[in-house]
Amino acid sequence: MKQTVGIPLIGLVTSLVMGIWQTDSARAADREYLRAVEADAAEFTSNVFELSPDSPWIGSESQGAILSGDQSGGLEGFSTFIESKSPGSYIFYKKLPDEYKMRLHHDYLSTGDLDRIKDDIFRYTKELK
Amino acid sequence: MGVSISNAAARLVSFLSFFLFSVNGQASVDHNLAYPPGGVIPDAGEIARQVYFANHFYAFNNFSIKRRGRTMSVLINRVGEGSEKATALERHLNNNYESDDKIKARDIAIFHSGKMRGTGMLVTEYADENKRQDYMVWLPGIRKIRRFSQPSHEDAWGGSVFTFGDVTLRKPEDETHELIGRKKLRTCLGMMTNIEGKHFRYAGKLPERSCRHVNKEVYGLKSTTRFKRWWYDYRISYVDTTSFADYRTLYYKNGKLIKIIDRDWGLLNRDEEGDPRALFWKYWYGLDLRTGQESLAVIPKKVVEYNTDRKNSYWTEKTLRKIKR
Repeated sequence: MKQTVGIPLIGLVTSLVMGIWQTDSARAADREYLRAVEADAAEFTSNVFELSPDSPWIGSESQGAILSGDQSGGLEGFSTFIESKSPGSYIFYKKLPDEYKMRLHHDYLSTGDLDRIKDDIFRYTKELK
Repeated sequence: MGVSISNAAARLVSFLSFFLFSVNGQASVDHNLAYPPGGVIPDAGEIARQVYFANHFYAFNNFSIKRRGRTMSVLINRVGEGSEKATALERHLNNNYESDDKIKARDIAIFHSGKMRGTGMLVTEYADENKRQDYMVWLPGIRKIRRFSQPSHEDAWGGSVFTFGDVTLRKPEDETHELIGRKKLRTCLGMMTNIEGKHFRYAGKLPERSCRHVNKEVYGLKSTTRFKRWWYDYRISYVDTTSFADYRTLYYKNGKLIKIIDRDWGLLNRDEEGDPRALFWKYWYGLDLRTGQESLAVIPKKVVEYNTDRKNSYWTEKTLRKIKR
């Protein structure tokens, strides 16, 4: 009898602890997001963007963000992104001439379609053979 | 019985409005709106019209978010700390009517999940701007079609953060517009962090937060409502200077930020193949700071189809009656 009561109690306590932990995490994520959004909006009036570089909403190169140079550059970041998202495709991608890499990068920025980018990497590889 | 059918239909209208993006009466913008000439910064009103054009998919003759196997578009809502509630559906929009036709556009949507499963809707927009939209709903429970009036701007659709105005009904002339600047978008677009990148019913793998627009040039467009005693005073949109995609909209009331909507957009063709405004929504994320409620609408690329040779006869009551429960 003790066991049957004890197991649900442990489950309940665990659920509560996990629930509180998850809620706190979610709220922390919201707070970070809100801070990022407000910092971004403030730039319209102040011309200054101030946000901690540790913010998860600033974006990283492995998330497809171009953090260095302008949108027409940043090929290095894009290469990092392809390597992290599709190591198999990256083997072929890294052998392509820069001209093709630039085209792939440009397509990714406008379409956001990684599957098509992977197809194009193989298509360009075949074309160049 | 009558009340329950009305409620069900009202909920249906609410759910569908997000996906019925192109069927909307407006006087100043249609599929003939030209892309602004290069080298000139458009004025605020023109930017607002271009945003409207992109959001109403006028670059396409027809546009479908279809069902492909088990994959469909999905709307996910979460209130506070509760669990996510999802609704899946397909829809088909048709802008391909002659200029002398009394119909301007038609849209069919079909539900595939939840209590609304098997329900369909046909929305007709007429060429006559003074004529209101026509909403016909197929109710599978009674196997009949019912007609409904257009919903209000401020109504929430599908219990979500988004209002009818946000999604489809708000017209450029409902607000005054001011260009407040031009800068780079600095941050990733929002996302429900607890389900980000995870597998989810209907949609498959959900997208991760979109960061690929970081450092893209955007206009800041401040739009002040003309409606009195409205739920927001003004909103600020981040509008792509090339495609006129509005990545982010911030809503303010009494100087305080009250709601955020982020939209991830994707070009369907490569730039050199056509209109830079020929975009589709990849996902919408919304956060209401007054309630803590979050919403996410996801449209997987594989279910998108456009400019097909489907005949206009598909967009009729006959199709609604063929829907299987």
